[in-house]
Amino acid sequence: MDTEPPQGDDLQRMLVPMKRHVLEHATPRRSRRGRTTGIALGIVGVLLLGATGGGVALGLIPTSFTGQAQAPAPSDTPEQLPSEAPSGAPVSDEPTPVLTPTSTPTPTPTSTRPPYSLSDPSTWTISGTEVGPVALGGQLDAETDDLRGVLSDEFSSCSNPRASFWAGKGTLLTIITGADGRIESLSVRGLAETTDRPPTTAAGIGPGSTVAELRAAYPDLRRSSTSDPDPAVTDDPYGGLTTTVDGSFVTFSTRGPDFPVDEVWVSTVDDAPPTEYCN
Amino acid sequence: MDEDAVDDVTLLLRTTAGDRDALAHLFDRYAPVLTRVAWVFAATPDEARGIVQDTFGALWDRADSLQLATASLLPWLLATCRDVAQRTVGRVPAGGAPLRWVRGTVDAMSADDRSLCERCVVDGRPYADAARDLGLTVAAVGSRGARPVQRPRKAVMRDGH
Repeated sequence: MDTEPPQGDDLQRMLVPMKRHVLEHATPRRSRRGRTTGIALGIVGVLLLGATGGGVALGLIPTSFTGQAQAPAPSDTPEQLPSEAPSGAPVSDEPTPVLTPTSTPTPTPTSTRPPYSLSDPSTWTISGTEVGPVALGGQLDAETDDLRGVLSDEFSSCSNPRASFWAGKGTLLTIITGADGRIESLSVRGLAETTDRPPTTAAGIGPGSTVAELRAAYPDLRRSSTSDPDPAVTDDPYGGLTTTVDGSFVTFSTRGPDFPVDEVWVSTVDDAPPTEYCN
Repeated sequence: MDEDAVDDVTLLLRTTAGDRDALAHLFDRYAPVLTRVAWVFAATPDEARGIVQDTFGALWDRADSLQLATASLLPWLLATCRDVAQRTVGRVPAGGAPLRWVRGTVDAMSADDRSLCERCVVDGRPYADAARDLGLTVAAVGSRGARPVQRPRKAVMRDGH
């Protein structure tokens, strides 16, 4: 903002709810123990592979992208996934890389959306394979050449060469590539300074959606590995609520149960975004 | 004990052990300056709030593995604030702009801390890399759940001295 930041009483009034928020969330549940536990469980599960359907275990272990998506852990019950569709008609003649899940295939998506407009990110669909014109598994340059003129990476000043930030039209798209240069994760956020809306899933969920809307659209949501591991906490999505779409993790993050979704994370590798990309 | 007189490393060690009061004191100490930096990155006050809150969230989450190059936590917090802003609002102005509302605070820092802030916040260098650039050695502060027997006497080390 170009305006001068608040001072004195105005600043203190601003800080009070911020401090309360910070302390409310300063509990052991946001430690790495959840992820560690998940990994440990995954290792145990691998040892049981072959005996009792070890696909569950495979999904719990973060793995490097190898050209094919590693299937995220399926839930214990059959998933009732909303119909996730690619973003309508592709705008490029180039074939879009399609990720092939290694275990139970998800239902064949049926598009209920009109073809998207490249210049309008609000028409892009977040699926398990792509966000609008950007496909998971594709090479960064090939997937982002269409973005220029719509989103800009001019403010992307991250020292991590595997992370790039594309902003514009109410959308912040973060692209994470693997060591081979292929895109393995995408993050979608909204930008506050515009009324333009960011992309959403086929179910209409995106940054700005309420937790109630999210739960209604995805009844199979489970907590991500970075969420509260305490089973007594039943409705705190802080850290992300995850589902599986097209064989990829699709995770919705909020600042708390009373806050809207602020990030949608799609990844073939991790079920939640990292705490930082650059530092 | 007058908490205002407690140094950052002690508060960080207590935070590492899960002491929320220590986190609260670090918030009181540094949230105002972080808010003024976040204000530059943000398009709205809500965005600025979110950046600062997520910065302290990262502090809480990562306290047990945090490595400091100096006795002040502020350079690390500012570097993290910048990173949070980059990932959440995608907008980090280049040049000296990010520090324009905290110039007095930065100028009052030690030379090492000032250089760390400039390199991390203005140049976008990761904290550890910026410390190495300056010939500083980063040192682990402690492990969550294990109170250290002896606090490091000196957190600032240059060229191993």
